[in-house]
Amino acid sequence: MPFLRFALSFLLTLSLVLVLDRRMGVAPPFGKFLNPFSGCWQQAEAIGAEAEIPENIPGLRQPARVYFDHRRVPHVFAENELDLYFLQGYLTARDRLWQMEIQTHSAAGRISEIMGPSTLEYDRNQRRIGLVYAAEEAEAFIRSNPESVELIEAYSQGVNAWINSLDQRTLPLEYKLLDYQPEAWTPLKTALLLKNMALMLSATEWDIENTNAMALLGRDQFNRLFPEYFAGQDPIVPTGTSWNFTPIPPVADSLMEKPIAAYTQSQPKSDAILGSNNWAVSGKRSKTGRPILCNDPHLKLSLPSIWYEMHLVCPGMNVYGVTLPGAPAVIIGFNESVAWGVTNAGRDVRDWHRISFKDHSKTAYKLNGKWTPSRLKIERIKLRGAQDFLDTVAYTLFGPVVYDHSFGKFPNGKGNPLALQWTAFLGSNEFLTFYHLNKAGNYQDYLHALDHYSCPAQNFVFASVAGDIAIREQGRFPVLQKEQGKFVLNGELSSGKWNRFIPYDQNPGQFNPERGFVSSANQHPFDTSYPYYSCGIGPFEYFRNRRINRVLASDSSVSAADMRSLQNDNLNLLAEELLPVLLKYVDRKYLRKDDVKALGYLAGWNFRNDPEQKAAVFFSEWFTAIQRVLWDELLLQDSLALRKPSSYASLRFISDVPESPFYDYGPSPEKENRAQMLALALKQSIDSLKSKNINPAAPPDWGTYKATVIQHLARLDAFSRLNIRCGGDLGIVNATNKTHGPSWRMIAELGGKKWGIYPGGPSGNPGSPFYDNMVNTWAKGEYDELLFPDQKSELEAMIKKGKLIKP
Amino acid sequence: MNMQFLKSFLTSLLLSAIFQSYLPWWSAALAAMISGYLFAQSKLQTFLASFSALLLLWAGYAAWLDYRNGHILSERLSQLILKSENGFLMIALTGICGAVVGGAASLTGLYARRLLQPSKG
Repeated sequence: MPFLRFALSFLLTLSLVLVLDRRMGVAPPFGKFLNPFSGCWQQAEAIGAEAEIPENIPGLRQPARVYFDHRRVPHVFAENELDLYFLQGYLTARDRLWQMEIQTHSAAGRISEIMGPSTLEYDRNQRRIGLVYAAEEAEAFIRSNPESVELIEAYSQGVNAWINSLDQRTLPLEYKLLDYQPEAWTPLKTALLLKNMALMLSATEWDIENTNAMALLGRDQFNRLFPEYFAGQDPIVPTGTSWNFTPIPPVADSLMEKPIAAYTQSQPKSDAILGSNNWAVSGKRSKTGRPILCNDPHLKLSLPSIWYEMHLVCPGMNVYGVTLPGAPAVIIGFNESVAWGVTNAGRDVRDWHRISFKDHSKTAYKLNGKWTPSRLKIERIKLRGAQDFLDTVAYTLFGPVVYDHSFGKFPNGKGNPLALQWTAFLGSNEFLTFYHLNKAGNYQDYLHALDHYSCPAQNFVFASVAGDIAIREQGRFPVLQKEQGKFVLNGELSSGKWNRFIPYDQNPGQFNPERGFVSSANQHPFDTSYPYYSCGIGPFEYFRNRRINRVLASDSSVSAADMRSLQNDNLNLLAEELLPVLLKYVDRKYLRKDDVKALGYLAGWNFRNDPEQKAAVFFSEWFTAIQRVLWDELLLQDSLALRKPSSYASLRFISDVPESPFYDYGPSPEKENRAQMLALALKQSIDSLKSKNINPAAPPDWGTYKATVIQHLARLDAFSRLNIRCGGDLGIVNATNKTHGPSWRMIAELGGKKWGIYPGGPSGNPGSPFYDNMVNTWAKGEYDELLFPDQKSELEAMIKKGKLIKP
Repeated sequence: MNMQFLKSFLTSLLLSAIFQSYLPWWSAALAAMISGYLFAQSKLQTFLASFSALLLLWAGYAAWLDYRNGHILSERLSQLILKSENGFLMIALTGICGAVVGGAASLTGLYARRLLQPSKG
């Protein structure tokens, strides 16, 4: 009896411990997680505590110093570049390790290792579009250059020095919550991170949707809805610029075939709001006589922030700006002599090729009339709590076959496999661009730095203390025949493989132009006079760019304060141009009381999406409904991958086309004309408000209605910032919508002061006061002054304040 | 309160604090088991001594860390796990979690004592 009692009690205690040591469903292992000695409470960072850093870090080559300023931005002072990147890796991992790892796991299609089978299809897609293949090609390319491989390895060593110092107590919160351990960092992971950026920013092609739409609409209608260029859209290189070079001719071949509506599925696209603004104003047009450079990249708003701010100093380098956790060097920033910033180019650098396999084994495909062997890559996807999943991906001359009989949907279950060709597969070393920009002293250095940059193509804006301003769209672009890559291509012809590329010095750009400023906002880089073909159907911007250029051209003596208000400018150019048309044409006959009242709000609106504006709510809802009602012929096709025309195309269509079958809304019994379509959409928008429990007679203001969210990377609301009241929207210079927005706002006076802000904080720890400390300042459109000592004496004083770290 | 109870309570408290500073979290159970083994008491007293010791230790330590943190983490975790804005609930949950383990483990210690040293009660 005593034994039985002991045994039972022992078993009970043991099972209690075992249960509390294990994850249950999505719940954390409670005992392991909650215990205050090594669980989550250890991540409750004390308020007012100084940033901790050890006196010795093994792996450091020479003594170095680190100074954390009042915003917790690390200023790193090393004796050599290897130590500098080592410490960049160490400090970034110290604040952002979980983010670094989850982003690279996501890139590599390894999320299911952590989350289980629910993310399998996501991981399969990542593998099938060849992201790991792209990273491996990049790594091989990096390793062929001894200059950079040491620097990238030093960064990895720094990250690993931090990982090796961790124990269960100091492990970041998310590892404890999801109950797993970090693995060693490698240069391949840095390459994966950069390829993930390439995916985020260069998945802008619409080949599959265009093919379906062309088959469905015919060429005339297609061209009206999806034109490659609109007159008066204000490209980066202004109309009238002459191109002083002889272009390389494309290969002549009949790659194009008659488009057939044959594709149900397409790839997720870089969101249209993933854009950015940058501009540089020459000293001749600024109040202080110094050039001013501004940049605000718009990305999905996330916590931990996509950026990590740093100041990196060693002999030959003194650079400040934002870095990407996982990659060495500063990506957007300035040094003592120059400043630079980026916006996404958005040009089409992905082609899709229809592949004819011999059979389902995928071992051979038809090329130039002959069966050609494909290379089969077996992808092993580990699933948490389940058996590994094996997937076979065939690689062709063009790249991986993403869709085949085992992956993707086709109408009637029948369709052709599709291979992806992408500039991200061509070995490149973008790190070298940033490394050389970080050390650049003048315009020539900037040009030289850009020569290493391939994908995702960016518009690099530049300004120097010497007084130069410039912009260049940089990336590797294939030389194409007209309309090549606009539609799915015949993959039986090897001539679809890119083999000629536009020389970098023929990429569009400007240097010290007459008008005294350069700017980009993801619009078309050039007008139709550019000697190379580039598909003009992309995520191109038609509003922010014109607004920015209008403001910059109107002020010949700009100040930093003017730049702050331009970055936060809430004028809705779409509304300014479209709303008068809508109010003119809308059929008021059958409108209800609430609908008429909404028109009253709209008629008195100043076209600004400021947080306190109410009319903006009605305009946003109405325009959403208009696009739904107008383009229902395209949007209601379930079995085909299609997309709606851009908002600018919608604006032009409604303004210019008095009669069209598109105005009829299929699901309604009546046959609508333009006026009735607008009225129907207005009613639907009012109903939509009501369905969201909003009283249209007493609407909320725009900021409250939009309620911007900065989401935690694991999509946990508790670790996110919800309901942020701020202005802006898509197509507005302050491009902050519900989920996306300026992920870093920077204003740099060359030889003067610098300001910056990002919607987050340096720490990636949800238990730290520095996790989201900059969000409120950011939401108000305010900035922090950045501590970048220009004077040698100031710099030396800052170095002295830093904490000494020894090997 | 009798002396045995106090000794048992303090042994559980101190031993588990020391154990957990160096060993994984479940070493708290070992500490409570040892405390249960060392002191002759009724089942209820044994259980309560370690239950309250671990309750105090886990909730108390968590509350101190939470106080220094200005409740930032406890409020986020409470929202995540308990769907509540109240961070104190996380501290309570932490305390109860430790207490249950401590109580159960101390009884195992007591039964081991009764098994191995039946004469000492």
